[in-house]
Amino acid sequence: MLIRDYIRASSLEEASERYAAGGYILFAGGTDLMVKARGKKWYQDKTFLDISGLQELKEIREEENFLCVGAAVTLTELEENREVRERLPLLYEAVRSVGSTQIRNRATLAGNLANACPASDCIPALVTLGAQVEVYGGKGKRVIPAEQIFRECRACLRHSGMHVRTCYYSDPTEKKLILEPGEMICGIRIPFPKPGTGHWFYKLTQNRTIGMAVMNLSMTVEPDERGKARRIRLSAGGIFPRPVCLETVRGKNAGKSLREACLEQAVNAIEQEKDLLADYPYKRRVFPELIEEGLEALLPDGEEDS
Amino acid sequence: MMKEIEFTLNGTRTRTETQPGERLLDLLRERLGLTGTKEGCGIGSCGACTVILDGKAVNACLVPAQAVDGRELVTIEGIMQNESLHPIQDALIRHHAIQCGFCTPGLVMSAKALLDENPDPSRGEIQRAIAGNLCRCTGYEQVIEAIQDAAKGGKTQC
Repeated sequence: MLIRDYIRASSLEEASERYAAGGYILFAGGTDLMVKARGKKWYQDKTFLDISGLQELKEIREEENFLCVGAAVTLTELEENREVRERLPLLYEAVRSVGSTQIRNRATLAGNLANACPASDCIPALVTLGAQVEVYGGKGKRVIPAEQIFRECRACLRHSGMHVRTCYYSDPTEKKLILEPGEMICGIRIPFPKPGTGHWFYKLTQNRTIGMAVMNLSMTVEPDERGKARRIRLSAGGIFPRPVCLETVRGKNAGKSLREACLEQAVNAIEQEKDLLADYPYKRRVFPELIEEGLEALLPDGEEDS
Repeated sequence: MMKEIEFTLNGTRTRTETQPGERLLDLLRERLGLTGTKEGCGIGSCGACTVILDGKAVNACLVPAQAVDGRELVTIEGIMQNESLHPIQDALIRHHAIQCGFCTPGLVMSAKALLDENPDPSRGEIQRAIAGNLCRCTGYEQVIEAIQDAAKGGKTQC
């Protein structure tokens, strides 16, 4: 591994000051950075700034209708958290599908987001749930909706593997997020879905165990007061150059059923990426199938009216 | 910059020099001579370098050596009990869950981390716990049986 230095931050303020000064790479779980540092010389002039020990970033707390997850909270800690399991089951499933136990014991939710890989398992879940990202930096703290924090990264989708060792960016945060210089993610706020909201997560991998997603799908179906499906939200990994949330609302689909409208929107969206996406013919066929499977599970029978 | 770190290694306070570019795996194998922890892929995919850091299984290839300062680490060299094999090791032998043995230390550490937290795991929980440990010769059935057996006190004869 080739890096200039490694230091542990002693406070968020100190971390922020150093990070703003340049020459540092923020390091939490390091499960992606360590792989890149092994194979590439990108970090020989950079210092890894480890924020994983900052107590203020280790908290999982409930605030109004949000679960606030500090930037140093590991995926295992989320998996073991009762609120996550019971009230954010979509996120729970996404988190559980990441890597292996060893990886989840180190990796963080914020790191997964900051790494901004289009095949991330957690990002589509966060976007579908309408999560917000807390950012700390020179201008104080601000909150950015997760869906709006990403830049388009077209290069990522041109190669089919999307393994860490083939990622093109030494500091994805700088390249793929809209953050200002020196700004760092300090937490993620996830709203609890309305009671009765159904969820669906599916990860398509090559070997069913610890691989990266070829594609993944996060979906929620929110009911109206009478328990009838009203709104479908979905987001998918491995398809789009920037995470997007596709939303379909009952009664706004020119006579089409909710199911039809949802599928049509998804097909249109993937067809936009025809020239960009490696394995397009395969993904174009499979994406609607993944959605249909989810709708099958989430929409009650006879849910065909517009 | 060279830095001195101090941590608990297999129950013993240990002081050592490290360089920033060293991974925990390099520290163990090259500097401390603990070669039971293996390097397979070096990218967190195979689990051959699994060690237990503060009670959690981690890949030693993905942890900077300097990150273990002040923490508690257990490696395969640290799990003998009164000069005899750990029950998981014993069960792996009895269940013929080893061929070349390269993945075995990592598997043992993953299994130990699991049983330390969950002494009576389901088959599914065992599968999840070792999903990050690649074995290319024996396969996983015997390993799962061995871990189940170790959890039950290691009495089954095969």
